[in-house]
Amino acid sequence: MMRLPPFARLAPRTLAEAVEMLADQGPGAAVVAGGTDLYPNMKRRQVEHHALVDLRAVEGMRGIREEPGGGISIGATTRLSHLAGSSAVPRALAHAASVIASPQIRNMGTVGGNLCLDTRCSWYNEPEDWRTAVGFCLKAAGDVCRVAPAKSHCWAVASSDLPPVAIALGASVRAVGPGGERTFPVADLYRDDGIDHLALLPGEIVAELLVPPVDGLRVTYRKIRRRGSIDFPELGVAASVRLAPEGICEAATIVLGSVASAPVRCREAEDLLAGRPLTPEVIEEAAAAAAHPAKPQDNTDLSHVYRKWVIPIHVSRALQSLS
Amino acid sequence: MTALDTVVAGGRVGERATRLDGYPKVTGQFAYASDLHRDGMLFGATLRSPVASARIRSLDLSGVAGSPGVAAVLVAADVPGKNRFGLNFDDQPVLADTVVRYQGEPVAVVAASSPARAWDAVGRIVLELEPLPGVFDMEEALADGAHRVQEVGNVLRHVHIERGDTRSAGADVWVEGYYETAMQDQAALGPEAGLAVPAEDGGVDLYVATQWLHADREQIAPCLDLPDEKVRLHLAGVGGAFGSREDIHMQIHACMLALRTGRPVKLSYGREESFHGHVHRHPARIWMRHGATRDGRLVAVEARLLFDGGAYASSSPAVLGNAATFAAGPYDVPHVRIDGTVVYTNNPPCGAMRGFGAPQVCFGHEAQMDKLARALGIDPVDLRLRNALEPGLSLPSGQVLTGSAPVREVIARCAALPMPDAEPLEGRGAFGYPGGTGNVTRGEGIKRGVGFAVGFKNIAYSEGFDDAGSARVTVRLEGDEPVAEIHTAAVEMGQGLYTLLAQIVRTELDIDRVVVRQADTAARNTGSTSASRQSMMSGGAVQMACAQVRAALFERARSQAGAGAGNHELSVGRGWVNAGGHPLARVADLLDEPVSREAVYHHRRTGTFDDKGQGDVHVCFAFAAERAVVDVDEDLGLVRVVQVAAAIDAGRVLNPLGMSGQVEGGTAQGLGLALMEEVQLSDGAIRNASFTDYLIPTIADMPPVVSAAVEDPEPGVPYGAKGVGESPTIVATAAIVAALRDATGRELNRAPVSPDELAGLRPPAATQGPPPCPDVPGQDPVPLYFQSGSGQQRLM
Repeated sequence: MMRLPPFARLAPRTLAEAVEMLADQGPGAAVVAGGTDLYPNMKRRQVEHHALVDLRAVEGMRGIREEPGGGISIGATTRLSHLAGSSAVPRALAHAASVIASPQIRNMGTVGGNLCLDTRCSWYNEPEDWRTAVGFCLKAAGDVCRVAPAKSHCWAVASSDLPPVAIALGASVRAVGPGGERTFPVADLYRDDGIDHLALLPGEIVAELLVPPVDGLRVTYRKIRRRGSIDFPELGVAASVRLAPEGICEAATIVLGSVASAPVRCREAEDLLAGRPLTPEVIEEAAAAAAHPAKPQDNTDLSHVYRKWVIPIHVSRALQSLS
Repeated sequence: MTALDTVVAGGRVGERATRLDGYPKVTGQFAYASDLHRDGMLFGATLRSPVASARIRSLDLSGVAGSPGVAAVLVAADVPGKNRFGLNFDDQPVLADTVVRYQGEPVAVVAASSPARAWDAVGRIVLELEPLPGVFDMEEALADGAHRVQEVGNVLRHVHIERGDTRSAGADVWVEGYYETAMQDQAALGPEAGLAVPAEDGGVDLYVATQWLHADREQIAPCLDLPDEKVRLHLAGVGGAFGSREDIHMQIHACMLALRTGRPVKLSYGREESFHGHVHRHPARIWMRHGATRDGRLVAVEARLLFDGGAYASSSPAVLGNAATFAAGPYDVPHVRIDGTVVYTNNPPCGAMRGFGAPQVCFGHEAQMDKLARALGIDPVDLRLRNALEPGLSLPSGQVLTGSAPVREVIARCAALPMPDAEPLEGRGAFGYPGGTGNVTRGEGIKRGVGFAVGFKNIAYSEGFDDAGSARVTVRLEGDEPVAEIHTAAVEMGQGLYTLLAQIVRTELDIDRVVVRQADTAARNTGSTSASRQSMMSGGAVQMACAQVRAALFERARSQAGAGAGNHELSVGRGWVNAGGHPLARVADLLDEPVSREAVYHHRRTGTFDDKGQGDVHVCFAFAAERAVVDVDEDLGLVRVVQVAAAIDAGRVLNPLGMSGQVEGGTAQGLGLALMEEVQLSDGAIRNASFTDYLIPTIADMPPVVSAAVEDPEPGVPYGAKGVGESPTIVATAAIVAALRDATGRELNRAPVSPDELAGLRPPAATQGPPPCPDVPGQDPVPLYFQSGSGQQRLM
């Protein structure tokens, strides 16, 4: 890995100042906090930035607070290890944070960083020398996708762990930009495009994650990877159900991670659950349907056949744990 | 420089001695080669070939000229001496001259005032390449009309071992199998690094993390066109090696840059560059046929082995010699026919890695033994016991086991080690299930399996090689206290050798304070820290030197005491030379002049292969057995290794704590090859040159290891001790994959096993039949028949 190229580092004290600095620097500038995703990518020359606005000193942006009207606010620069150890947040969210990378990376990496994690691909996350030799891809200065050369679409994978569970919890993101601030559902932060995967407006910064009161919602997050720790997910499954007293599923949310360039919502499976009891038969039916919207490609550690195959099994087990 | 001169206290032979480098490493005080620093030093960077096979059309350096801070840019024409080096043959260019043969081959080196400037300069060099055909498959390398990677052709060595006649062996039952193992990376945590300092005499001092200082020098000096004495090597802090530091990497480059610029030059690889900067474990294709009588007597083994040596020879010929001699396993087999071939391809060069050819064949022969046990309806452990080698019996190569060979003991001891405690299927902690913290199962889909493997390997170098050990021990006074100093060229690379050498000195001289001097080429050649040999070879030399020091002290004591010594036998203890158990002279009083003695220890002579592959080629052997217990999530194909039980033949345990470390670490590396480790290639390019994508086991993947040492001293060897650095690795892969087969009923003929295979989504590795057998002049490495220059053999 090469060393970091030179860049200007700016250290605003307030969010407004950060927004202003980012706007001043123009295109090619970015925000950084823990840097556990961005810096390695910069070292590999996957991305280039002439200036980085470091959010770590921004006041009020770090920490977990209970909202006056119920629910939880998690500041974007809250460290993942803090979220993982928090008893104030839903357990599934803390669990998802606890299975990201390694303790050292969780001590540096932040909630906002994981929400905005760059998409990953085995043809993209390679040293510059390698990509020079093999040829660049769509996501990095090339004109063809090495995974699916027939398409002009980038299939790099959304490999973060927090978004699926945040969506299953019905969480929102508050973002602040030159045009003011807006709050929107977490799912709306993403686009199924490996290159332009974040739906932020120009100059917008993710400020906090807003988690509504759990209020009886049952939630789980599960993650497949080859090793017992550290790795990015080969498949992440977040599921939430709200059960009526007699065991009927009133509402369900099923979200897959690492099968596309954005978290994938399994609407068909959710509809199959709504209004029905979570019997093994119903769960199997929904789990089978959950695989339909996923189109994994051969661009992570494990084969696309495997990653498609395990979806129903993984979803089924997740739903069983909630029944 | 580095803080390797170390004072140690406590611990004699047989005691649990704490590693002298343990605390410095854990607390961050230990200086690794990458920490080397000299004021005013320059930083080196290397231009490597982006492709695996091409002709160099032009190399334009004009873009570098005048770049700020750049002190030198060197290409092949700047190599002062011969532009070839290599462990077994000098077939590898220091810098590629006419063609490049693998992706990552060095083409030019730069020295500049900062790493950034050096890399910037590398980026300004314009390398124009004309693509050549490449050969990336080891079987294709043997095909007619295949691209010739080297002028001598693509066969690097073929070994043929024949005993009896397998066709008339009288077998009632035959089992056949095909197996593959992947290219494995040593994944030493410290990447390659060193610092070259030009000297006033026109020579150079090189501080480097290596496994064999003298072998490095032997290869460096001719390339620099310097006499050996002007190339002085000093051991820098080694961050693990596992075979990856046996070959030259940055040594010659740094020396060339230092000599050219007249300034110290440091070259330090990053992780990605490290993947291209050292050799790997050979990928192997193995076909085997085993025949036995109905009562479980193994009567015939046929094997074809094909190893991918990559673009240059490195130590491939020796690796293949090992693989061929161990292919039938530690079993008594009257009829054997083994053909092993290692080929050149345009893949990255392969060479030494922990086990040195043995893990690959162990994966094959142990799977075969399980197949045979099933076909015969015999318990697999019992089948192994029935066929175990023992002293007096011989290997397929005809070598009679004259030393310790406790094969039955390691099998029986391992089988008797306690199984893991029963666990309920539900309610285990996160690490109690396959998938670890990922929370993927709470007991669903879990099948348990048990696997067993036995294996073995030679200790020290083979085939006539006299890799002697050498050491100097000096006893002198510091204040009023005797201090012993050990000076050797032996490399401590994290395996605990220096701790052990100090234990030997304390045992032999009863002196508590022992200093281990930094290893350098001022000391006599003591051979490589590899082949599980240093406990025996450098340990033996230290023991002999101590005996000579003791004799010198006795002589001084006698002459000081005059007639007082009588005819009593002298001994040393508690700071005194004693006569007949009574104090005669204080050791401190005998040290007006220090006592210093150097000793050389040779292992017994070995021979070479005859045309039937028969020969007394190995010195002695270490055996090991492991039993693995696994939980497999059959639906998701994920694995938790629950426990590994290990019985290791140690001859005699010199440091039980060090031995545990070797057994656990060696098992972890074998587990890696069983479950996840594979250097993935496409057209010779490494696809996963990082620790994000090249997976090595973490603590979350590593089970508890319960181990037992089998102590059956090797005759004629210091303390009867055998090295244990490699044997656990050899058997771990085979045992774990056997357990996965037991759990799933699947064939699993390729290591590493992937989740796809365990979930039934990928078929077993396929073969068109036994790998082909090339036509070669004889058993020697093919380049020898073309009179290629020799490497290591000149050393002794």
